[in-house]
Amino acid sequence: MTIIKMDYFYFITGIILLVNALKVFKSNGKSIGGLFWLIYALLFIIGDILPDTIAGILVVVMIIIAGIGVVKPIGASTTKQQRSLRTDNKVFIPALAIPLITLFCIFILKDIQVSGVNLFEPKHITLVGIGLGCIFSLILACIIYRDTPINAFFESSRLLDAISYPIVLPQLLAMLGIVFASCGVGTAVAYLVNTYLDVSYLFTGVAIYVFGMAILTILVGNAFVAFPVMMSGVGIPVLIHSFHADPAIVASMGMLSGYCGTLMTPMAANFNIVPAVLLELPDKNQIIRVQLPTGAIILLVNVMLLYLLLKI
Amino acid sequence: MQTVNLLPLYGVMVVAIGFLFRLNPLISILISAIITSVAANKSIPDILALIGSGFIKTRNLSFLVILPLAIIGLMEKHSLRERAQALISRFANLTVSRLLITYLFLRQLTASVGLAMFGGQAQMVRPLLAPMIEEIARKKYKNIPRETLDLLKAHGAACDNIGLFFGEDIFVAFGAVILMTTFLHEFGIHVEPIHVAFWGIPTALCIFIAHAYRLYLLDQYLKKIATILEHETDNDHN
Repeated sequence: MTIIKMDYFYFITGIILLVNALKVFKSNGKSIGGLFWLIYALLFIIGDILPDTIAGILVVVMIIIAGIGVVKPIGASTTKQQRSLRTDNKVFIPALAIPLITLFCIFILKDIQVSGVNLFEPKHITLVGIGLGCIFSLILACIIYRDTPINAFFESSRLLDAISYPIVLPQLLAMLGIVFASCGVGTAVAYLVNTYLDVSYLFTGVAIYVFGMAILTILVGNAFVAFPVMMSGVGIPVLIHSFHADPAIVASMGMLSGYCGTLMTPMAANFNIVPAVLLELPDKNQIIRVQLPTGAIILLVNVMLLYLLLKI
Repeated sequence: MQTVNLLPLYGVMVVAIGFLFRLNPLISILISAIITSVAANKSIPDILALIGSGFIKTRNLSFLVILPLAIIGLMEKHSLRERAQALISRFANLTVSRLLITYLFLRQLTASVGLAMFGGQAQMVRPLLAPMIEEIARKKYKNIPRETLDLLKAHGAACDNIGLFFGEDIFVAFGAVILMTTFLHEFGIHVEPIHVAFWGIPTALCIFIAHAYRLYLLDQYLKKIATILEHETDNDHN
């Protein structure tokens, strides 16, 4: 039992999506693009009471609507004219308030109980903290700007519309990771590595582990998906068991090698593609191109570092 | 010995092929999820349930992006970008390289003590960092081409990513660190999260040095572009 649940924040997120759905329907009632936002909103608002199969059907329909290219920005924004020109730096306060309130919740309010009931779910303390940070920061913003939460909802709808369907990509990739895990993809990769690659030398073992983490992350777009696969396939049997490596070093450097892969892949959409859309870059792969040399250098450095650390 | 079912690997191939041929990423993900599940002998209702529960379980990822949009939108309406540009224009001798190196350093440092939310593409790069970069670049180099500005903005986004990835891994209570120790524990290997976090430091230092050097070269590149542009305008006058 907790007083402040994650569900409340999912509900508010759903309302933001619903506002955008209504806006899209209003601008073009025949557009099925609005249906994409409506389903997305529903999965947030009533996701918990939906049977998994029904939720699955809704997700599939949502993907197909976006896939056939009917989810496009409508772009009708009136904000430009309404813009108020402020001349003081109070405008920054809400931006700084989000992290400060989040930290306050994580470190100060985490253990607070009201008549024996936890204020927050301990499992989701960071997420609840960020959620509260956003809510209080929004209230603060309305006070400072003398604006209304209603306008904030319209403003978020303007940004949602500009970002369009790629906003759902991170979540879909995480969903794919769960599907991979429950279908035994990890076991299969581990089997292949041990059958076809020579891991009897420390250096080759290290190289396969480091590059394997990066390549797998490039393919699936998520180092968290790649880590269990490479760890159970190479890290534990080869590096930790055969070469008696320190598991903390192997784990940490493996994950960081995966992050090098994240820098290089369009599959990590939330880091590489969504920002390109946010910044209105014409080339959606430009961020990846900028990150590529650094990622490649660090991969080579990691092979050397890990080899030397394990050799000592 | 139990035989290993290799068929689910086709699912990974589908994702790779999908983005190689620039198919819609959402469609690639859907096809991959279906092929992987079929290869693992799952029935259609099971596949749908797997996709549905997977989506519901991962709602926290979308929530982290969507909820702050309301505040960012409101701040942008009340001239957040303009104020950020005005603030930065006071630092006359700030160059693009110096700004980006400072941002990278701060992002890595704050993320390593658990302040991952101090940055962010939607929270910091779009509303603050990108307009600052643009202001400095325009001030120093008149008529800077659009493509160069885009390159600089992409560098801003890259600094945010690199600082975050190679900073938060040093933070002991970070999800990835917990994920690693939990996973190892299942294999009977006990590791303290603090040790895993500690061994993130060597790579974090290396990446800061390597990337800061690349950013340092960026100013040189801008100067070169500026000289070429000046020559072009001189020729126009003659």
